[in-house]
Amino acid sequence: MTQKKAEHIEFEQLVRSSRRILYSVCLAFTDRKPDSINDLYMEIVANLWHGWPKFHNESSPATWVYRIALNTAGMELRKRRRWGWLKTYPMDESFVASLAEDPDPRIEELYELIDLLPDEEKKLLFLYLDHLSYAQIAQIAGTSENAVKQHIYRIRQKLIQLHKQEYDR
Amino acid sequence: MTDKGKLSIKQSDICAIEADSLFADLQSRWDEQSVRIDRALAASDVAIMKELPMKPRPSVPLRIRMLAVYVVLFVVSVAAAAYWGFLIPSLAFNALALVVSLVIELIYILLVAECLYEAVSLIILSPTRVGTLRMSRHYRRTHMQDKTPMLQMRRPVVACIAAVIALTVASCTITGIDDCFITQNHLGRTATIETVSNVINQL
Repeated sequence: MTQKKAEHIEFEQLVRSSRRILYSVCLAFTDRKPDSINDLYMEIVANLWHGWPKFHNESSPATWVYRIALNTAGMELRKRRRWGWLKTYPMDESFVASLAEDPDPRIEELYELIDLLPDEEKKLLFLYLDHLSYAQIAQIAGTSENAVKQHIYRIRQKLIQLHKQEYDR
Repeated sequence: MTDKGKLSIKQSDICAIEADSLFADLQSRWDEQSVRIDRALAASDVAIMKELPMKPRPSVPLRIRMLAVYVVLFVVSVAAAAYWGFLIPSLAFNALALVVSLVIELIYILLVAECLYEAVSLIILSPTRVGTLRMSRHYRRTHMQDKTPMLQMRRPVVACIAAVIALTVASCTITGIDDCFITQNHLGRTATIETVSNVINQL
């Protein structure tokens, strides 16, 4: 087996094992439209593939995937704000269709609430809700554990206010 | 509880309880969604993996190769300009013309190359960037029933038109400057030759 083929297989395994993370990020950081989800998904996979040779197991593969996925999502959001018209690539809808068949209004509310947060806080909340430890979040966000704790505390306070503003109208 | 046995709840306690219950609710919704995602992924396992056609990464990214071309072209243009500069006796004007020419040539090269790069990458290689794992437009059209919007379809055309306009404008400007350059050079050389002849005659 050639080295390239082995690399491809290894990468495919990584993507396969990280698909839940990838799609969670895609759902949380887009408008939940199939085009946007698939677009961001491809962008993240592309960046993973690009960064794959530089990944030397300093952190766990999941942590690395989280970091790349969240950074890509952040960059994509910024790009979208600058050139909203550039990013429209409709793609395969097989996965998203299965989720869209039976949309849950409670989940939509959750995403809408998260959408109200700034990008950085959104990333931290995403990781926190995904049951990552403070240490793991700190590693992904490139900050200290204490800073993460403080941020999460502030996000919690902010969410109450946002929740009141949004749903007590 | 206070020391008198009465219940005392502060505003901060209420906020904390509120935050906890809201967070618990959010967490439960998030977990539900995670389960749904897992279920959806399990059901569409094969379909999703079809989305990963592995393109080999080029050893040198295209952007770097393009940059190398920019540099080579720039060096060539500088060499050409320097060649003309040496032949010109009227230094002040020609030095100015040289600088203007160089700046315009550099802008022109970068602009045209960028436009062409964008056009080529959009038409042939991929919809956005080159050199990474990406589905080509052709792959999407044939395998994914791609319904690319019109604006997206027009991007390569717009990029090509921009490249042609940039090329035309830059060529005209450079030709104009070069004409001026050559004329000045010619006159300057003639004048110098005449002056030298006069001196020789006088001698």
